[in-house]
Amino acid sequence: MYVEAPKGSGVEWFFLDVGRKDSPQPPMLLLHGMPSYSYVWREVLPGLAAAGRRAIAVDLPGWGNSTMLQVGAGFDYTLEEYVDALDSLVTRLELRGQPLELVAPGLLGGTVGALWAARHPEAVAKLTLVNVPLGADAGELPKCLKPLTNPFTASIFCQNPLNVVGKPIEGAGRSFRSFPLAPGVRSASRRHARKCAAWPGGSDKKRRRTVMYVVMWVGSLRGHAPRARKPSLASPPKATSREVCGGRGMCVKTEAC
Amino acid sequence: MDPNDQAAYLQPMLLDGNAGFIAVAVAKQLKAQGAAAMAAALSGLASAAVPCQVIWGNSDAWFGENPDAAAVAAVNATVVKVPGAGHFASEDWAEKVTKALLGQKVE
Repeated sequence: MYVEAPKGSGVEWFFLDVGRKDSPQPPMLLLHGMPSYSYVWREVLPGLAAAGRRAIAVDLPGWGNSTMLQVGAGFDYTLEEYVDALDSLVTRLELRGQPLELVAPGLLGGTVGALWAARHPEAVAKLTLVNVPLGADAGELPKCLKPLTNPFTASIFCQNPLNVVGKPIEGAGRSFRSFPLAPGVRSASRRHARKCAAWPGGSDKKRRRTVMYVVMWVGSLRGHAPRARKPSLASPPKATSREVCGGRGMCVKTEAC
Repeated sequence: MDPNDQAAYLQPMLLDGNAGFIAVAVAKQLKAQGAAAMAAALSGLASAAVPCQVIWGNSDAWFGENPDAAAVAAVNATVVKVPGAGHFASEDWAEKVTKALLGQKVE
């Protein structure tokens, strides 16, 4: 489901809402770190719902299924804006009545969640920080994400996120060791590099062929994930949760499923 | 990790041309202001006495095996360790993280 917060800003949040809305215990609001989205909670949400809790997992703006407004087009992705947007979201989801349990994992979710909780202590029954760097390393990106702050590598990443996230992320746990990678992408690029090296100052025909290979290779990068239509800002979809999860590769069982 | 899960994590990055620019903007923001923001947030949490809990996947190779002891003591947080989980604890050990979130004992 989607909700626009702040209202009229064009910033639409995707969220999964499970469990009883009339639960006597505080509702749980689950954020996420980077690079991920509410998908990390898919195996946790059913357990929380089974325990009689209401749990809402959101995608922060710019991540997952939430809108990805262009930087500068109304949302600049600063911490301040994230905290304000989270504040609006809590209002829009009508969670103001009772204190909530905020679950804030990782560097991004942890920082935004802690800032919001510090600003609204009366609205927080409990703040849970999951693997958030709190001490001298607070705000420090892990080594594999540091290329994002280097102007040169960042500009490459902007054009093709696979250049960074397609590489293995070392040692982040047993399952995040390797981030998604299209099969054969790296080996194809090595093969292509060998071909280029073998044709120093080749003929025009060979250069044209090289360009063609590059175009085909870039095309293969786009081809390995099925493209789903993003809902337009003008008409937010009134979809059941089954329709929302269908085709996006994610499903958390709710009553509608 | 299951290939379908890998594809699910990557998919949003491929669906929208702004995704890369956004990740870079957020990374720069965190690098510039993350440390100061977290320090301010922790002092705010401590002075308002917000109940805090820290769940920590023990095998986190990004941010170490233990949360920062001084910060944990400052906000008077309870620490629940999740053995065998890395940085993305709920991805590695969803059952243990669920128990920790519900305030149950984690083996």
